[in-house]
Amino acid sequence: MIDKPVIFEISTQQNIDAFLHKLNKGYRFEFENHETDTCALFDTFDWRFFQTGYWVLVRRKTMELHRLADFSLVETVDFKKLPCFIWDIPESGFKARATSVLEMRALQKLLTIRSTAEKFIILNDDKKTVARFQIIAFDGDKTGSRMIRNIELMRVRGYEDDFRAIAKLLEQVGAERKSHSAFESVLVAAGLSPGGYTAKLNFQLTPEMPAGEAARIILRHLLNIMRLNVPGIKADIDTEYLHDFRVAIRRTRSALAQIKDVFPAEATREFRNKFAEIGRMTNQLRDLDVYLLDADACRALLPDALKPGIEPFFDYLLTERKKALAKIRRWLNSKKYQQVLSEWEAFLQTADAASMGSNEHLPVIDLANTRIYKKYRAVLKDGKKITPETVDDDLHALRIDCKKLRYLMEFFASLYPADDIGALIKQLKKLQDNLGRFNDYCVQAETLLHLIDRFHEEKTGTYQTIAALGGLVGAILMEKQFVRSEFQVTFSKFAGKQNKRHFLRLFNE
Amino acid sequence: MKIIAIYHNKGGVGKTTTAVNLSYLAAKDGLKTLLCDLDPQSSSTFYFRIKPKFKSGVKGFIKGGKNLEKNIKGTDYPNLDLLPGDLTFRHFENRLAADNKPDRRLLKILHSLDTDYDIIFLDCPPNISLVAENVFVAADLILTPLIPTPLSTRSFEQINKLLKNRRKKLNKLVAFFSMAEQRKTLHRDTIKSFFRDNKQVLKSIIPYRSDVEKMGVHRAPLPVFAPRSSAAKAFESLWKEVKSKLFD
Repeated sequence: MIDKPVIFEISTQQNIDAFLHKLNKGYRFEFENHETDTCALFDTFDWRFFQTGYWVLVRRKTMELHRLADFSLVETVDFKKLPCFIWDIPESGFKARATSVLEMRALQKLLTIRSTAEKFIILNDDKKTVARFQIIAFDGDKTGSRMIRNIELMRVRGYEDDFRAIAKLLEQVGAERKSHSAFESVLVAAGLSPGGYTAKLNFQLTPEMPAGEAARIILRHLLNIMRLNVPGIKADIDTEYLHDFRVAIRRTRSALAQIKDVFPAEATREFRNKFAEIGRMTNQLRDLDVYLLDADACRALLPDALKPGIEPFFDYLLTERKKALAKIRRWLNSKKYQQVLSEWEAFLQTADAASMGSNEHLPVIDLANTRIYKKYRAVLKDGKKITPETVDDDLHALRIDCKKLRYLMEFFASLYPADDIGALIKQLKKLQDNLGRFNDYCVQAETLLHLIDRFHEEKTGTYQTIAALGGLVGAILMEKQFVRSEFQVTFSKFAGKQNKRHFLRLFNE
Repeated sequence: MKIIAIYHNKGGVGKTTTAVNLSYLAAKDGLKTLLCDLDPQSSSTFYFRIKPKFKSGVKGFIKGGKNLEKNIKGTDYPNLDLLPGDLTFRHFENRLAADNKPDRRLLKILHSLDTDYDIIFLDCPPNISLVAENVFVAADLILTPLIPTPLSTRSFEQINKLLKNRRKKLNKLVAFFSMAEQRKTLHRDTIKSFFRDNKQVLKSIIPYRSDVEKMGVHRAPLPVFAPRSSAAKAFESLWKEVKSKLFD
């Protein structure tokens, strides 16, 4: 019966000819037929499926999910129109598996792979088929990609000796046994590096490294992330390009502020302001994206009677979004923006000792420990002051402190044991989550109240729309109260003895 | 798993061509099929271009288990494997006699292949012997090709008696007409009266055709090199009847 084929990678046509020549000596072989196949590789910009251990391939009107390790087929789904987002995928096992991976990102075609398989049978002197093989040539669609050739050898039961002899012939002409198909080789040949982009801070610092050098590594990494995301923002592929771009800017500003006395004070201030401006230019579009992503949740918050009235609100958001996107495109194409980036890049290259800060040569581990522990103490101090009567502004201040602490911990994570710092960041995330949601509700309620006034003045929508917006404000304020009530418990958990001990051990000893 | 034996106590009646063509059609139908060549002349083996060699010979065959596995050969056709026949199989009789339950040995041997195959065809040697008895015990269906002459219908009576004497289930045995020449009055009349007097017979009639003889030249099943011939169509019809008898 049929077994799984054994795969050999063979580098040139000459080697294939040499194999066929050797084969001819002991056997005869006959051409049976040839098949061509085209498939396309899909993934998100940040390689989410690859990172989770899958390949997504599209063949004609079917999307296939394959395991990375052995290429085994896990799920398939047929479609009429090529899916881009999770909500475009028809209900299926594929969709169920893809939901938590894909989230709100777009699936993009990365590469088209054509393969031509020539099938042969190998015959003994009785003209009995003793083995079969296919010569498969893979070709990617990126110009200049090297052609990858495989020979798949399939045994016939009871003819193991012949199989072994033929496998030996292949090895004699330099063919290499492979555990899986040529797929990954094709990707590499096409210049794709699977898992190449990630928004994570995956650079490595060493404890003795001068702080100035460490800061430059961090900032260059962030600049690169910004640059890589711009084409996706302009092309409006999905909402996350802008999100990653903004996070990179926030981190840049935070690094400039928190990694103290490394760069000249004047330059630090100047660039912080320039990046603040870039960040501000993106605020409007990001806010609109968030609202639109949350549309279903908003609808669910409203009583049925008010639900229909909210739709003009979403239409309004879509119109505003078009305008905001156009504005951003103009900005990103502008000379001013390009200039800021090139100035920044130049700044990061130079290391003019004379104008640098006092901490420039300090071992980065010392700077990291000091700054992180200090910020941690600040979070504890400010958090302890908060009671159920405290004004909202104090919670926002704490949220900002937490953010600074988090960024510091992430910048310098490579200096500490991964499990330890990972656990502490996880604890901090829980506190940030509570404060973040509280802040979101505050901002949303305020924005919606302004919109109510505006809609009334400009006569946008009907009275039902205003009623629905009002209903939404009410629901949001209730959620806000609930989140606020959870603060005390969440904070005490973070401020507890166990975390204190860990922070002390990691950063203050 | 079902076991079907192609049996007749005389040679030259079309056992091998039947075994080869039916096993091919069973495999084509999607059933995982094994053709077991029990004949020391190894004709089935020859038709599939496989060398008539059974590693460890009749001794190994009777031991069963891994000895069978080591000898199974894939034919050129999907889903169809073959256990080759071998000259040493002429000693089956002696080897089997040593067993304490001599007529149940084959059933035991084939049982180890239960999960690997949906159907096993036995191409039997043309004799009355312990091998035949083993076949009678092991098979779910015994298919007997008859050439439509009065002499062959007589041999059918003999085989029937054989089974009766051994207290085997009679409805296991089923005949069909092979190498039939519709132009000959004798053939037509024999067929007519046999159908009238017997229930244990299949309706499909395999005509005498030179195509079938050419199987030895092509060394391939008939449906492979002459799919549209009347003989090939007759075998397809025969397979349908056999399948229904075995699996319904």
